[in-house]
Amino acid sequence: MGLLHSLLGAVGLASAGQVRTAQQRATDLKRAVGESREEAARWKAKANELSAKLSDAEHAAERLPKVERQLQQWKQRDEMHAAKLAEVRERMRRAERAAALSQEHLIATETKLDIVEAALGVLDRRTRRPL
Amino acid sequence: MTPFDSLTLAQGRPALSIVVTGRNDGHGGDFNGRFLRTLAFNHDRLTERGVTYELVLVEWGPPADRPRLSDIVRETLPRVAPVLAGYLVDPRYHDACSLNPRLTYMEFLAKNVGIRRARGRAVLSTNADIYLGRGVVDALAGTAIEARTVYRATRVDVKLGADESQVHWDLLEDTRNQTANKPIQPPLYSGGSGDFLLLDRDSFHALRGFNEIYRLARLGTDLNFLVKAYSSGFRIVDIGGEVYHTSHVGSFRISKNIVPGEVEASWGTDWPARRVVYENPEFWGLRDAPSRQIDEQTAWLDFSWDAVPPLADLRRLVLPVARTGIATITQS
Repeated sequence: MGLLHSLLGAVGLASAGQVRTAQQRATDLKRAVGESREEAARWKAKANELSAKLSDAEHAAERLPKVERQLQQWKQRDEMHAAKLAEVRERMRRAERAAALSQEHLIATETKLDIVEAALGVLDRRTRRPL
Repeated sequence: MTPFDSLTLAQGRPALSIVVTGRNDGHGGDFNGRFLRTLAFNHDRLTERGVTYELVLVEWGPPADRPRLSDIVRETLPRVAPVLAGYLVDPRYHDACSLNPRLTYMEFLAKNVGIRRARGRAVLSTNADIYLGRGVVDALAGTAIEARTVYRATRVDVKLGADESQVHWDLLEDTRNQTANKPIQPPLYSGGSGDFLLLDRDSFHALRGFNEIYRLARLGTDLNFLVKAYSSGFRIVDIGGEVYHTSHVGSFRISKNIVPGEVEASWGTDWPARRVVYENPEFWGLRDAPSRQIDEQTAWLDFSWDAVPPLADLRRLVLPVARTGIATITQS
């Protein structure tokens, strides 16, 4: 076999087996190249994505102090509202107490008026009796 | 010297004064029969348990043409006679004190007359047709009455037949004989309050008895006393037993459904008894009424304008002091 290969090689020819092997290697290399291209494309996409994110983060970082200022303002407003709410609640509690007390006084006054009216009735009857 | 002095001197101060009021006018149909039956029953049960007591019977405006209730008690129940202290209140006090011409009986002024003159260490204000239950008598016999504490008992209405001559606890406690009743609840333990209010005498006097300022109604005056006691810092507790009341024509629970028009004459109209309280004058309970002894155990309180409270004493009608549970008072 070796002699035959040498003779074919001398005239610039290759055996059928050598051709098959070479073709197989060529196919493998083509596939490897294809895969490498795909891999490169994926990395490129990732790189693009990361650079977009980086860009967003840079934007966000630029906006951060402003957002912080806004947040602070909201917090202050919220505290103000909470304080106002507490004050209104306290006022309502006082108003309720005052209303309840007024109601109690009103009932007491009405009861006293009943007594006054009844007493007047008694006096009226006593006055009329001797006449 | 009050009519009871001779008794207390002879027997020492009684543990208990039971204050009831009534008169021989057939109120509610056979008043005397109901009164004498419950009186005999309660006397026997208390005596069995060794509870020394005086019966303070106040006859408010007794009819001149009928025998006095105190005389009937002595004749019918001689065994009760020794503990009887009777007070007859001149009928003119009714006209002088009443602020409601429709009202025929001033129950709580009458009870104040008795409470004012009671000699017992504890005073039970009750009604003339109330049977003391087993638990109540046990408590009276075995429990020390604490100061500044109002003791209450649930009132149970019983539907007894015409013959009540053989009443005993088993019969009263038999739920088949009982009509629906609402157990008393804190903080006031109100409901049928006039049937059982027990308090040490000094505390009763400190509170100056029942309301003498608002004299337009009987209805709610007992509850008003509880509001005053509670608002004055007194404890109100359930004594842990029941009292029994026999349903009869003329009782409030029946009359309000059958003859509502007559209810006002007996009890007066509804008023805010939970919302206002009173401060009776120091001469409450007709303190200044001239007393005339008509026999060893009975005194007649003569009429005198000096003893009559003013027609209107508005400063003495006040708001109750708020305490924990006051919302429950006004709502319950």
